Amino acid sequence: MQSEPNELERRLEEAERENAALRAENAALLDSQLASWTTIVRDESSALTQVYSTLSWRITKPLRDARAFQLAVRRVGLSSALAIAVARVRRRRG
Amino acid sequence: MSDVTKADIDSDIDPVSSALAQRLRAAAPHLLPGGADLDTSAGPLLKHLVLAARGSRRDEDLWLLIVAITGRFPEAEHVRGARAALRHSTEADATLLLLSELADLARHSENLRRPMVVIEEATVVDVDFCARHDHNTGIQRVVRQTMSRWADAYAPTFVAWTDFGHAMREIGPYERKRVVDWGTKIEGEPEGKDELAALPIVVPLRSNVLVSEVPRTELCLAQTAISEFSGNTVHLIGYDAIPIVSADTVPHHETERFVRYLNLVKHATRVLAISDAVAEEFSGFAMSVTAQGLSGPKVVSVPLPVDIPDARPASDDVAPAGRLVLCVGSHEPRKNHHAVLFAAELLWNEGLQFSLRFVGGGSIWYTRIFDKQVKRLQKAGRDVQVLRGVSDEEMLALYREATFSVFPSLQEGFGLPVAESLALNTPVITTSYGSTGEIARDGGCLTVDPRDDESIVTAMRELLTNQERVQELQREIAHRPRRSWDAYAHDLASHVVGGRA
Repeated sequence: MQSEPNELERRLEEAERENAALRAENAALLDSQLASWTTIVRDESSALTQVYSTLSWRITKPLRDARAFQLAVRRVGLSSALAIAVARVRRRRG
Repeated sequence: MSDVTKADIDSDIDPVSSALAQRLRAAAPHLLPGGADLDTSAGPLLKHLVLAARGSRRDEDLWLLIVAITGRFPEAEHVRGARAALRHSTEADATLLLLSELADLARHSENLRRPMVVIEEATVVDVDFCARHDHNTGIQRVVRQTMSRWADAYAPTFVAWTDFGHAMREIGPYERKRVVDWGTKIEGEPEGKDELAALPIVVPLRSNVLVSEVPRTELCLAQTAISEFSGNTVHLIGYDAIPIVSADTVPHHETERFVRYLNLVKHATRVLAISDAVAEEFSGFAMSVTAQGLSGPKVVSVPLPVDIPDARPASDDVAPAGRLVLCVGSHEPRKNHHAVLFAAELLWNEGLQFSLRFVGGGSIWYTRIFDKQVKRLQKAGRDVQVLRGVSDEEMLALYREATFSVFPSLQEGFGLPVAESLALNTPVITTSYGSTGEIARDGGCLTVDPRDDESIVTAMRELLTNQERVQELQREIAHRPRRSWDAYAHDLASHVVGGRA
């Protein structure tokens, strides 16, 4: 008569262990999913940052600025484009 | 204010992951009010948060979760995109779908390594420009005078934005001094790039957010989304609508920036206009948005004071001897400085003796033309100067020394130079209509039509030749109703602090 409760207790413990293991496995999967996403986001973000910090990107900046200025002149005219450029420089310098 | 501790950050994972985990833990108590297990790792916690936002009817929950995941304040299209992703999801794939939706926003985020603090039921004041820069003309004067008083009385949370405008952040100690201690000599060094990069994102929830300046263009869409989705009550100080209603007097980019700003205005709860004239302009705009099915903001007039700014003691040796005419304001066509110069030249030619001082900077495109005119008159022996980079205390000394000041601006939101001149008992010649007309109604001013040069000449001649008239205007000033910066700061607070709509 006493062996039946013992058996039930043992099966309950086993189920709880199994449940905990599944929870841990699930948590690990969710962590792994988030880690993959973070890695992709971080790497792509760093790739952009690295491009921006390369020598070639920095030395070609005047060319890009000149092109942006040329487009601005086309859009809003020379005087406004100059005014915008001056305002930008001032804002950068505070 | 920051509740970010080192315990929030696991040292054995990279800074991006640890910052993400910290932000999720900071959001958890607000998204899982029933209790969040903060000991769990980031993956399962994110799943709980996503399911909570998915099941929630409140946009603010999703808005907060987006900030936590990406380190960015989203724009409206990001919130709608995320909402759509969750609507099409099942419990099983909701997290993946949301992460996928937000990947692009996150990969362009400048804040992946930045922690976050959430503040609830607080008063948050956006002082981005004043905190980051030393410039101090119209809007900055209002913000600094007001916030130096609020700092002690209401202890608001001051915030700036990260460099690219991706999120609100705490301000550093030096930045705070720039906002609240402007009238005193600021000690110490401004924060360096690394120090600023370490300041946490500030996320207001169920709070009063006051946008105290006209924001940078790149902030407008994120600020609009705060108004639309975050559950915060957003108040704006309405300075003027000049870039729209007088677009011919400002550079194109100012108009473009203002158009973006109007998007924020239409979703804001309240606009606190600095004069009745400005209140009318914003009310007109608020009415126009009903055609879009929006109620528009409530517009209230909270007029600026006629008072002097807090400043260090004035020096006495900045003014010339004899009669001094003062003209304060940045050099731009709207301020009508050429008309003042024209009037002065006529009066000098008539044989009147007086000194003329212009105080204020401006874009080189306007100043170079103006400076040429001034140089021509100087060569002719006229006592005229343009003073740039003048400190507040020097300017106050000039007001005190002046016989009268001239401010015939074509349009103003308020006209601080008129108010400051009157506060120092110096009569003013100013525009008869709009906000300066409002100020003039209480006495101490001669009003003119700024578009009529002869009207300005006549007024200046009168005050240069009739000392009794000057004294009469001074007596009128003495009887003007007094309104101080203390009163303005208090009135503004009565609409914002603890006053959620």
